[in-house]
Amino acid sequence: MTRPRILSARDILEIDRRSLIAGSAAAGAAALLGGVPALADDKPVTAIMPGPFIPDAVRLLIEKKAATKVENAPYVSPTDTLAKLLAPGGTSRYDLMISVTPFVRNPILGAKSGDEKVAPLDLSLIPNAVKIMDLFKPDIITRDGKTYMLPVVWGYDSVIYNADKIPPEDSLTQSWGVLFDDKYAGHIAWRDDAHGMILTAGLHLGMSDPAALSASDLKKVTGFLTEKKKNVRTMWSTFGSAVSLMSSGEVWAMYGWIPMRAALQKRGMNVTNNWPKEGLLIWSQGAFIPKDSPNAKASHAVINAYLDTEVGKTLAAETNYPTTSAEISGAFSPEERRKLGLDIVERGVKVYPLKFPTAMDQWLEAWNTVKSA
Amino acid sequence: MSMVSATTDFPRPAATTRAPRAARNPWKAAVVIYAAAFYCFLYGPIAIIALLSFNKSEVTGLPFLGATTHWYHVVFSRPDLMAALFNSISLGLLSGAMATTIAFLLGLAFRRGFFGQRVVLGLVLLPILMPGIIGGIVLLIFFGYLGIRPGLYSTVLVAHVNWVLPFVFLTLNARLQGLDRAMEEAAADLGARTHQVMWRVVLPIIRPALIATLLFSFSLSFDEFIRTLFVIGYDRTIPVVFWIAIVERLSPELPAMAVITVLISTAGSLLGFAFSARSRIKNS
Repeated sequence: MTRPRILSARDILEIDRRSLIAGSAAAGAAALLGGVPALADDKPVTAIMPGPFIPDAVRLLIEKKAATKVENAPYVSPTDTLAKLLAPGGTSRYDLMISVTPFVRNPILGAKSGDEKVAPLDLSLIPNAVKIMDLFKPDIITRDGKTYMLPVVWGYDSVIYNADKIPPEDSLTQSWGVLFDDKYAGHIAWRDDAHGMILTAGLHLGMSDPAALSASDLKKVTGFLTEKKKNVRTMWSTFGSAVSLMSSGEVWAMYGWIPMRAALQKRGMNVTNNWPKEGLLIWSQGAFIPKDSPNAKASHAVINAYLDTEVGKTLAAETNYPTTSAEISGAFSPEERRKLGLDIVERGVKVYPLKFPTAMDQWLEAWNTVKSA
Repeated sequence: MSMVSATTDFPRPAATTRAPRAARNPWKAAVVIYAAAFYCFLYGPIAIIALLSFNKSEVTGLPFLGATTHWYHVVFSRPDLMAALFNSISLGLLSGAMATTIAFLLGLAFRRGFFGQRVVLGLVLLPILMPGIIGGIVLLIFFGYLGIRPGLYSTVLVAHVNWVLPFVFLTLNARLQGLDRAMEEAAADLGARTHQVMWRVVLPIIRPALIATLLFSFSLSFDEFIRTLFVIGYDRTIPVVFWIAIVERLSPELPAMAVITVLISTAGSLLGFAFSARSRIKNS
């Protein structure tokens, strides 16, 4: 939930007065010193990040540890985040962005050195960066020896299922096949998303790197999905509709997200997720600072706060989303670690990173073919 | 003396013939059924949402587990929802007032006529013709070039005025075009100065139309979502809160919030209609 913000006329006048003073001081200081605006540290960090990454309890902790307020704009999608960064003025409009690492990596770096839309991170201001798990160190984005993005939150997509209807120990349950097999026809839901569904179908069909499908493989996956569509009760596209489908009993299993599992369990349902033997889809979301942000120092502090152990524990407890800090695992019992998925490396769970295909347009076309079949 | 005979032939009234029973029109029943289905399709979802707002269930949806007003208490006790409601109402009033003022001045100019009037008309109507998402992107780029950060009473207010102005202008311009110049000329002949003609003649006549337009624009602004999403920062409006609630979490109080929103929006529109009708009656 966002913090309440009610502006009175006095607030508006105060903001205008403050802006005028800040602007004048900035102009004067910049003229004299050529440096950063004097009142930058008083400004809140204007951020774009998924709302579930900053529930109230986490917000309070982060703001305390970073000694700055965080004001997050509504998060729409990685595409929208990039659009807002790349639009004119985008590199100074926001101070911090957190979005899906593989999707934003190339656009924010640009084609070559010097094209970056983001500022290099000063790791001396992010001492908690050393705590990042080995599993996500490849998601630390660098170029020419400079770090531009750090993974701060991670998660996984899997099958969320009702354990009262579907036995957990069944080999079908512990695979992506539960979304496709005829056994649960009429009681499954797919996500209306080309990327996730084609990846899972590719994994289920035994393709080792489904993000790099050839044209013939894509055709094979499309045919498979079209054939299995008859087993699908419906497709969901929002969090609310997905959770409603499970909680009403309309579906017993669906492609799902971590917080869906948490929401359904909070309502007393015997719902859990599987650990697909073909490969759990894992992802990380990275934090980066637009290159012309006037509040970069505070943004560094916020990133550092996200990698703090206490913040990681709180976020995992509130939303089940872990941060990429390796230290939070120790804060939970073995049973909780297993439930949250913090022990996937120890357990040897096969994982597949949620990579984005180069031919996403073909995937979208394929998915439309499936939907219209 | 002649007696009237019983057999005197008084002119007998023509044999009364009963009017033939009106032929039943089979199409009338079909029209009634079609209309009923149409209204059900149109208003059925709203009725179901209203029903669900009183549902005891933690999940938004059927079955109905019992009546409760709990979700309305939740809505009114959530500071973020109340803040968003305040933001939407204040934005609606401000954008309505600004758009009505601009549209009024534009209408006066159009009444007088000026060079390039058609081009200006096209520009004013452009936001209606553009898809919302394109409008949002355009505004995002526009504010980016100006270096203006997202803010409720800066970028969002401008986006809302931009959206409601065409509707306000079309409504108000029609009214101004129909205003009889003889009234103004008579006032001028009697010695009224220009500002007095405006203040004492024109404004009183079109006041109901102005109020109606203000209320219409309030409704439009209150419901505006897609352009807002591109230019809003930390603050929230009601549609944005709704959208976040649907995509990020499960909020059983959402139907209650929806009912409140529909009531506010409908009240604005109905008041607008009432003032508009009053204006037409007064000037007919």
